[in-house]
Amino acid sequence: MSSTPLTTLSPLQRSLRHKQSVLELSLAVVREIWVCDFGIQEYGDYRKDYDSYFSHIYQDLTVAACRGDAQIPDFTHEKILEIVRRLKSQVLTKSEAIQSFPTRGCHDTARVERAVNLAAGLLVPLNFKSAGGARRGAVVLWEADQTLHQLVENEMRDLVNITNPFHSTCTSCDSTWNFPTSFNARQLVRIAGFEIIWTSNLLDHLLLQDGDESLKLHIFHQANVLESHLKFSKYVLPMNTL
Amino acid sequence: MRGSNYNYSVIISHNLILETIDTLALLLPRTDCRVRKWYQKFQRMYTLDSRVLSLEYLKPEHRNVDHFTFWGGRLRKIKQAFDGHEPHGPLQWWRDDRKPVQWWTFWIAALILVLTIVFGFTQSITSIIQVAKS
Repeated sequence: MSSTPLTTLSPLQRSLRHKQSVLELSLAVVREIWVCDFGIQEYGDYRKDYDSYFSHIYQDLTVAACRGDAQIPDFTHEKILEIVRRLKSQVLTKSEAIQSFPTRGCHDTARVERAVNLAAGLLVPLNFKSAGGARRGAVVLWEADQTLHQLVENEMRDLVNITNPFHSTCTSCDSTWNFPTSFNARQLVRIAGFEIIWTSNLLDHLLLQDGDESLKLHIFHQANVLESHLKFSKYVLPMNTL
Repeated sequence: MRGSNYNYSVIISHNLILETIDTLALLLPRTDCRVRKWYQKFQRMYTLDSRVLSLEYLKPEHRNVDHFTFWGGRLRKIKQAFDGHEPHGPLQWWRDDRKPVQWWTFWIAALILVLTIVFGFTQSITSIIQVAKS
C-alpha cells in the first residue's frame, strides 16, 4: 500500500465527515478563506476574532452538507476551499463555477452543485438554497447565469424596494430624523421588550418580526466577515478581467 | 494579509459593507460600557463575533436615517416600533428614559404622591392616638 498515512494529512485534506482538531482546522480554514498569515501560536491571540465565523458558518454549513439530498460527506475541505478560492479570485457565474470544479471521482451534478453552494455560503453570509438548511431565515437562489456579486446586488435592490418603497421618489422625507444615543440594542430590549435574534444571514439583518409576546429583531453579528470582504476590495481585479 | 500578491473580485459592494458596519455601530456602540457588558454576555453565551465591539464609531452626522440607503427602511420600522411602545409595569416605566422631561415629571409626581400618602397616613394615626388619649 502506498497510500499516505492518515497522521500526515493536513486538516484540509480530510473529508467533511471526519472529526478533527478544531484549532488546526480553524487555522487552516481562516488562512485559506480570509487569507491570513497566522502561525499556530500567533493564531491563539486572534482566534477569538474567528471563533464565531468558524462555529456559526464554517462548521454549521459543512456539517449540514453531510445531510439531506445530494450530500457530500466524502468531499475534502481542500476541495471546497478550492472553489472558494476561485469564487474569490475570478468573476464566475454559478454554471462556470460548477464547470470549473475538479470532477475527479465525482460526476454527480447535484453533488457538485451542492459543493459550489456550500463554497458560496462559506464566502458570502447568505442562506443559499440547497445548502442544507443550516441557516434560518431568508433563502437566496443563486441562478446559473449569475455571479455572486450580481446575486448580492439583486437581493439588496429587492430589499431596498420592499422596505423603502419611497426611497427613490421622496428623498426629503424625514430628512431631519436622527437616531438618539439612547437608540441601541440594549435599550430596545430593556425599554421596549424586543427579543434579539443573532443571525449569520445578512439578508435577515434588522428584520423585525412579530413574536408571540414580543417583537423579534434580527441582528447580523459577523462583523469580521464584512471587514474581511472590505480588505479584499483593496485588491480588486482590474476592470478588463470582469 | 497576503493580499498584495493576489487579485480579488468584489462580491459584496463597499457601500453595503460600510453601511452594515454603521448599523452595528449604531445599535451596539462600543463607547457605551453598558452596551459592551450587555453584548459580551451574549457573546460568551452564543459565540458571537467579538469584532462587533471594535468597529469604528458612528459619526454624529451619520446618525440620520437618510444616511442608510440599504437598511434605512428597516431602521425606520424599528425606530417606529421603539417610539410607539408604551411601557408595561413599573420596571419598564423606570427604565424608559426616552423622554427625560416626562420621566422626571412622572417620577417626581409619583414621589410626591407617595410622600403625601405616607405623611397623611402618619398624621391620621397620630390624630387618632391623640384623640384616644384625650
